[in-house]
This record gives sequence, C-alpha cells and structure tokens, in this order.
Amino acid sequence: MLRTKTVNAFYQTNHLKPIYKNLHKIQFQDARNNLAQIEEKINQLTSEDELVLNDIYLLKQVLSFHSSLITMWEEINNKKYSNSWNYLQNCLDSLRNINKFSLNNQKTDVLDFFEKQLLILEKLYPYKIFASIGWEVALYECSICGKNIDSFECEHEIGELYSGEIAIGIAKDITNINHVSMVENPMDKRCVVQYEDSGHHFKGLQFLSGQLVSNQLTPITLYDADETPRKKLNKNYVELKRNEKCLCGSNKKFKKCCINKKYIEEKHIELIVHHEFKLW
Amino acid sequence: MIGHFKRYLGRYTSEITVARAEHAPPLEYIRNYMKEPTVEIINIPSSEFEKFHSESEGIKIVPEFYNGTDEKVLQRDSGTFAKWIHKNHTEIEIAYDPDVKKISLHNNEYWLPLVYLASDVSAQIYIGLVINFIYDKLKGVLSGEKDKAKINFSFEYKDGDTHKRFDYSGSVEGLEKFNKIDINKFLKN
Repeated sequence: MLRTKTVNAFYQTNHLKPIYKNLHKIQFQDARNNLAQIEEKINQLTSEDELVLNDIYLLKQVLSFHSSLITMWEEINNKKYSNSWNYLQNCLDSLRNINKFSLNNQKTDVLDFFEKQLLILEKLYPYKIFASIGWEVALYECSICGKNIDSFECEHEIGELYSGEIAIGIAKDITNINHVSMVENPMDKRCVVQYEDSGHHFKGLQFLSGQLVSNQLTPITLYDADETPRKKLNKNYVELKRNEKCLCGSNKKFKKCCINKKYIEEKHIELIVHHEFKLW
Repeated sequence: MIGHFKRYLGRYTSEITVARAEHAPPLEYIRNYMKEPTVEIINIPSSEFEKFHSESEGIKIVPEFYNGTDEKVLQRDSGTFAKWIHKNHTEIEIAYDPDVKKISLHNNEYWLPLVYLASDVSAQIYIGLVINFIYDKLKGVLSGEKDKAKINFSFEYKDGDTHKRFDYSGSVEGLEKFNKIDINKFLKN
C-alpha cells in the first residue's frame, strides 16, 4: 500500500489491532483512545520528500477512515441512524482516496474487509435519490498554487496528490444557480432528506442495532450479506372464486387479475456473521 | 478505415457515471444496445466547425448554451480533460479557452465537452483518448463500482452531403470493443 520504507516501517510497528479488539467489544471510547495515540505519532512525522509526504497523507486517510468507522458504529449503536450515514460516507470517501493513492491501487486485506462491509451497510439505508445542484462558475482556483486550475499554467490536476496535499478547484465566483435536480449518483451522498431515526425507513438499521445490543454481531463480525428476494404472504389478498369480479377494482375476473398475488416478493437482505475472520 | 474518415463533424458529449445506484442497465440491454446503436441525421455543421476542420489540427473544446444560460459555457470537467490530454498526449494539439465560464452539475460523473475534431484526429483516436481518461479516473473507485461505470457517447459526422449521429450508451469495455470495429463502415450503412 505504501511506497516509502520510512512510513511503511511506522505502519508495521503501530498496529491498528487494539482498535479492532475494542470495536469487537463495542467499546468505542477505548477504540478512539487507541486511534488518538497513533495519530499523535503520525503528526510528528515530517519530511520534505514528496513520496514520504504522500505516504503520510495516506496514513492520515487510514486514520481518518478508522475515526469515521468508530463513530459510525457508535451512532448505529446509539440508534442515531441519520447521523451514522454521514460517517459511513466519510469512510467510503477515505477508502476511495486510499484506493487511488496506494501503490498499485491495492490496500490491505483488513481495509478490503471493511470496504465490503460498508457497501453492505450502505444498502440498509433508505437513501436512493439525492439532491444535486447545477451552478455556473466563472473561476475555479487551484488550492495549491492559486492559479486557474483549468488552465495549462497551473500544473496541478484536480483530485491528484502533490506532496501530501490534494489539488482542489475552489469555486471563486458562482454567478448563477442553474438548477437543482434529483439524481441517483451525486458527487456528495450527504445531501439527503432527513428521516426520523425511529421511523420505518430505518428498519434495516434498527434490526442491525438490535443485533449489536444482543451481541449477535459486532462491527468486526459483520462479514457478508445474502440479497436473495423472498416471498411473503400478501396481507391484502382475498381468496375469491375464479369467475368472481376481482376486488382490486379492475373490473376483471379474479382469474384474470390478482389470482397469483397470494405471495408477493420483497427485498430481503440476510446479514452473514463470520466469527472466524481474524483481525488480530 | 481511419484513413477514409476524412470529413466529419465530431460532436461528443461524453460522460461516465460511476453508478452507485442499484439501477445499472442489465447486461442484456447493453449488449442489444451495442448491436444496434442509434444513428440519425443531424443538422448542417456550423461555419465555425468548417473553419476549424479545414485550417487547424487536433481537438477544439467548444462552449455551448446549456439549460437557459445567458452565454455559452463549458462542462465542469473540460479543463481536467484538456489538461489530461495536454499532459499525457503531447502529440495532439488542443485548442481550449480556460477562462470560459463553467457549468458544474455536482453529480458523480465526468461530463466532457463538445469537441471539434480536425482531420488528423480520427474518431477511433478520440474514443481511445476518452477510454484511457476514464480508466485513469476510475482508479479510486470501490469494488463493484467499476463494473457499474457507464459511458454515454454521441458522435456526429459529415460524409459528403450526409450528416449522421451515432449514440452509444453502455459499459466502458463495450465502447472499447466497439472502437475496434470499422465505425466508418457502420455509419455509411
């Protein structure tokens, strides 16, 4: 994952395993303390070498990922599902950066495990449509050199890493809001409609939280999901004679209308707990 | 063949979608769509294009009106794309004004601009550039997201007095395969 010996040696000697142990025990504050100790050491790392600085950035992304991961699970445990969504998105953004800037775009097995887990978790949330703004901007300024980031004079590319810093285009002059649209693939998935944590929208998360409380699963043992839809009994189904008029109001005979709707298909996600996966 | 593809109007509004939603088009749909891409007759090319095509080389990124804008604007990723070509394909001339106002959609897509192609840049070369650019930008995506990456691609051309438009919508790999066949022959048919 890392390119330089110095930072790699640091990563190998400062294990994240205590964090996983505490997550497994649902002791979030202890996990956060573990993280703070490593963070303190990382903040002391300095260099003028571009590769080392990029590796330090990568380490900070790993820490940022774990920080969001701990808080996300804590929020789920505390039944604050709406808040936990933002931390889940923070985790996924950190993972994207780690993927992008790691050597050969490959991260560690542990991070692969969490990537899979988080993508499963994402499906339990009710958010499918997001707000997206279309705006007109006169100038995007480079966050590193201050020049017009779209000009050839600026040598930085948006989203690339330079000595530990990602180049960002800062919108300097938004001249008009062109439109607001609802999209399935927004840049930022945090722009969502807020739902009550106790509402039915969070049914999947409420189930997950119950499993956490009853120790049926932990943040370390949620391993996979089976997404096979299942049939359930249709509560509104009324058995009629074949030639009777259907009750749904279609004016058709029952045999030509709702006769086959005794069972309806519903989306079903079965969470798979795997106790044997060893993170320590 | 590429060499025969002398006169055309190249119009590309390409975008990739790292589709995070669960509604990616079924593979069967993409396959069918690939077999029968849409081709339709288009308008007569502008004098601006004719001038660029006959007098210049390479690629020109062209501003457009978009959804009621007062002036012609460029898609947000125009600069990123132009700089990517400028850096990775120095052999290709790229004409582009970085000071034109940008329209930014703030969704998870690379939205590329309308371009004019001069006679030294074939459709195949340009499609190859777009595919390489996309693969470069897909490096950070999470597992599963890469499979859902989708590309929409429109291409208008002029052959003698005939003007046609080719639309593609499907996977990046699909476009890559499509690019290997004789697009010239396809459009003439």
